[in-house]
Amino acid sequence: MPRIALILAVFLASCGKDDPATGDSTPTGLTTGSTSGGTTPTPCNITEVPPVVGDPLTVDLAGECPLSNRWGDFAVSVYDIYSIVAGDVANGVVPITVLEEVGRDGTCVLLRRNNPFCDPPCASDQTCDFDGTCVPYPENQDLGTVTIGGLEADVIMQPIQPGNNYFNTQMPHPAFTPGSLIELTTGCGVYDQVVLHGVGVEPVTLTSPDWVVRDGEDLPISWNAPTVPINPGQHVQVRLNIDQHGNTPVQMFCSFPDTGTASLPASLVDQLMAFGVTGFPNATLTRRTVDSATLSSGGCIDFSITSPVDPNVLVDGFIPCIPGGNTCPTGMTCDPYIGLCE
Amino acid sequence: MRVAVLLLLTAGCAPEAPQTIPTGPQTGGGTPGGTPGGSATGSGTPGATTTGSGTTSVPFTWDCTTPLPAAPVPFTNQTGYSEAEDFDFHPDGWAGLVYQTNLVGKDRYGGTTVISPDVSSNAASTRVLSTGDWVISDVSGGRVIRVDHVTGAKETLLGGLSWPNGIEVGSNDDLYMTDFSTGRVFTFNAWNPDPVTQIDIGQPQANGIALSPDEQTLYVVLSWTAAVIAYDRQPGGGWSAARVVLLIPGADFQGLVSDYCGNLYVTDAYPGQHSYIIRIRADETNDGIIATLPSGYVPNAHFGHDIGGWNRFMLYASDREQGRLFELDVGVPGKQHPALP
Repeated sequence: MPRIALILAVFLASCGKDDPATGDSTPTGLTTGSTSGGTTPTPCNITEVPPVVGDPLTVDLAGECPLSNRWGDFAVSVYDIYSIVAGDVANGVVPITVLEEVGRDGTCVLLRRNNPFCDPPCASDQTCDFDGTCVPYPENQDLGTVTIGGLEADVIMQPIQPGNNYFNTQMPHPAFTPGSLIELTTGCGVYDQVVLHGVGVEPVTLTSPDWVVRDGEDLPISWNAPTVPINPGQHVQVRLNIDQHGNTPVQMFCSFPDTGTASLPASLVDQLMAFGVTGFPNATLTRRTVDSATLSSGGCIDFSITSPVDPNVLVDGFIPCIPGGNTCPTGMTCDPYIGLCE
Repeated sequence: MRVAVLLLLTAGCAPEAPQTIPTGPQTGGGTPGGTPGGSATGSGTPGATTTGSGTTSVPFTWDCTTPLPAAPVPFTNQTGYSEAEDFDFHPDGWAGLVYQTNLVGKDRYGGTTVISPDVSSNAASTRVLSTGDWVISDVSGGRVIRVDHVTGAKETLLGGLSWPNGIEVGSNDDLYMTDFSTGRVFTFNAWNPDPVTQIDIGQPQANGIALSPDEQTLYVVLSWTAAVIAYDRQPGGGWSAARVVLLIPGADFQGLVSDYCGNLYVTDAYPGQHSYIIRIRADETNDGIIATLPSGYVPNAHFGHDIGGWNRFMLYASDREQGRLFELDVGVPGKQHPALP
């Protein structure tokens, strides 16, 4: 057999995959989340990181998946003293991760985690849906070889068992250069190949590390503004939780332009406080880019380049007290269940 | 010198230590010792001690008739840990905790390693099994996950939970758990999760959980009720109905741990103020407050295991407000660690 034909035969044999649902063979497909990166489709049985070509300032970034269809994600994250790459993609969505929107103001939303309840409890390989029925727990899938190029050290990952996890915790730190174009490519796995993009971000620091949440007031926040040109899709995500021990805890999520300053709206702060203040208040501010694509089986996968930081959160107007003690201001009494003056 | 100490500790660890951070500073900040709150000596004499390599030459014993030290017990604190909800000590010498969604290990001297990334965006209990693997309550995913301590791979053990919370590891890696939202108290095996046996349901804000050393009594903390309740193992199988061991209206109980002799230690939270460590004696009498800690939120406490500088006679309590670790000299050793012979 001529050499080129042999090579071609091997290539075609290795890249065709049976569709897990129907058992039919499907041709090699390519799903991209962004179209202006200038990437040439590559064979899915990749053994090396494809060259990354494109303009980081103009590459389209599709944003994050809707929670109702987010089957998985990958992220390259730069923390204070280490960087990691991690991700996995399942074959469905865990119902409890689909949060309910209960408030919105501009680019900020309040999302509530509702708790499905199944009685009797579900088996170990199941999870509870909101109608009280047990459904199969989504399982992580083998995506084949996953590569990420454009980093300080490019990454080639095989799924780690058990659980088809993908990660690398031995990244150079920081893992990427700000402004660099980064490309993720999945291989011959359960789903068709996916190519997603991101852009390296500068490490984020808080110029106002103490966040005091006050009833009736906007919450101003500030961080180090970018010093290099950024992709239009780069933004800052804020997550705020002041109801850690709530039975159905509500959190605020905001998406702000990466300008160095922003303000969480008083209207939502008030609503958030009305839902309850319990446990340990906490928040995260993340500078990031996010791209996403639809998988060949219908779910969504997203790819983030992130630099997160946690502020110190205080909730003003909620005065701690000792039940039975005389520690509340005049006109207020101590709630014994949460140890706060009301 | 510090790097040499870190390397020496690493060399003495079990084989195939978790992946380490290859570059950059190894310190997570903070220095050992911190601010002393008093002397750090114990009372009584241990029967035997474990070595720094983690191997035990003779079975450890402790005379539980040794008088308990009077309150308040002395403590010190060490900075540079994290605001994680829970932590546990690993035979490799790390204090493992979930920080910024990642399971990381922090050693006694400020070193940090990533054990497994992206395990949970909201984790509660973090415990070590007999194999050295980890189990974690992933509140955000409504599940319990098991993390391989060698590879860092994680898998779902049990899903469909509303608010997975406290975990106690018993013999044979039987897990005893609480669900904060449904008030379920249940048990299953970490390697064969079916069946899941429900011990109780409807206990409000079920939180910390601990077994007596003989595993015949299971204790559970109810946070806002500020109660410690108990279930007794029945001769024919199953567990008794709950009975109240301690009730302090107005408190906000969080974590629970038992020592070698069956004394219980309850942590609590007073946002913006001080938190307390309350001791309940093995005969279930209330010993009251044994320490007042300068933190408004102390969610959990665990005994050391004599590896990596974590003293078995010390009770380590986590500080969610400032990321510190308090070291309390309670004068009694902890129960045998599940991962140690």
